[in-house]
Amino acid sequence: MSANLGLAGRFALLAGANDTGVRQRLRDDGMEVVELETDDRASWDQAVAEAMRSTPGKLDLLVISQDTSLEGSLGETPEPAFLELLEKNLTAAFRIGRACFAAMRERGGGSIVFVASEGAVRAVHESAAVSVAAAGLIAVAELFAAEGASHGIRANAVCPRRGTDVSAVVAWLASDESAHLSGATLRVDDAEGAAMVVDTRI
Amino acid sequence: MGRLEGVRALVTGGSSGIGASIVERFRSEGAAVVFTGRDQTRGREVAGRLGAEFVQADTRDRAEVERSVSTAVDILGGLDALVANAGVLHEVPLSETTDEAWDSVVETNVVGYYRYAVACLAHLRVAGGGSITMISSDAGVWGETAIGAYSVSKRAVNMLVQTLAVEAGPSGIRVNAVCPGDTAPGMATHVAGRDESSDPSSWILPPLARVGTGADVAAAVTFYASPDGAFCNGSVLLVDGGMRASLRASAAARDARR
Repeated sequence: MSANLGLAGRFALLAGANDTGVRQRLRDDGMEVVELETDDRASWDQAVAEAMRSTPGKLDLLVISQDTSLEGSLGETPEPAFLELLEKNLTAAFRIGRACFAAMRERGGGSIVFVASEGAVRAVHESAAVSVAAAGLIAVAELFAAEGASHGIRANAVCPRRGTDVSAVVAWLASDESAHLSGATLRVDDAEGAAMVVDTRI
Repeated sequence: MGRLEGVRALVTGGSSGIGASIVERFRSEGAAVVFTGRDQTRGREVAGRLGAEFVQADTRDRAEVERSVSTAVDILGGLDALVANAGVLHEVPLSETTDEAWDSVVETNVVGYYRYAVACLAHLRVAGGGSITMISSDAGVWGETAIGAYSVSKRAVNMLVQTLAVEAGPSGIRVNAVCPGDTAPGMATHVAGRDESSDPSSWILPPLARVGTGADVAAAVTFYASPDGAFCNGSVLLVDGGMRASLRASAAARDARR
């Protein structure tokens, strides 16, 4: 039984969320959840506009989880793979975020959650392109937060370790309980990035 | 004896602004310098004036990047230092940024740096080590709403630096970032979206109460490329007069003038 965060009846868009946990959690909390899908980079605006036609109210929540993975240091990453990763994990998130930012501004605010990865805050050089895109994504969240403050729009970034369930954090960010949290980056990594763990007492 | 005696350096975007200041300082410290740029007339003028070699190349074109790197290596007889500097800026908030502006900023500022860094790695390894210095921005440390996509791109650049520092460090290649604040002449005087060059006298000033100069930035780059920076790797250096030191840093300069 999850906490009652007052989300019932609210409207959410999910993009690139392979994460069934988030979708299920939001539905369990009574949100109306619509998934955005398109393979064409130019049609995100259209996809958001179509989704917004299905509701007369606000766009309360947008969750973007562009979490394509790519192993390799920078030198080991061929250019086509580097470009594709940036496109999927950064540029697509920007485009979706921009479209939803406009919808939120028009309809009185909302909450945007960018699900990045642990490499956004502490570099993971073995997946360099992922870290580079994720770092950019943090800046996207911060800039939308700063711009959106006067429009009732919040934007935050969540950085889980791969496989970590972020559904409770996302639900909280969707709720009024987090009303003053915007432009924040939340590591959800069981303290892995908190400090370098070194045991010298051997 | 210059601090860069014997250093063979490639500077991208060296025909104007901060890049030209870096070329000038590197030459005065004894480095042999090849620099790239898009404008041949300007490039040749700077090359003649500073005693460096100009290679025309557009960082958005992968083939031109690779050709310019191999040309530079041929001219210099090897490579010890790369300064990735060529960048573009669009003065637009993120929410109003067009696809064209976003793509242009990401391609030049992020992909362009990646291209040059990767293309130079093998040459730096052949030289037994060296340095890569990426010109980032204070907006990459702490974003600025007026320059949305640019801020995003520079945050990504700082992560390019950190990831590459770990990869290249074992080969004796140090990778670092210099993050200038507003600098004139520099990026902020040539801005897409503005009809005319911005007047630096109207800019918001940092606590040091002046606009930065290309020489200020070139000094930091020289430190990284020289033996003085021998243990700096993956580091991010603000050269912004204190602008990112506090929330209302710019008020300090304003209040002091009253």
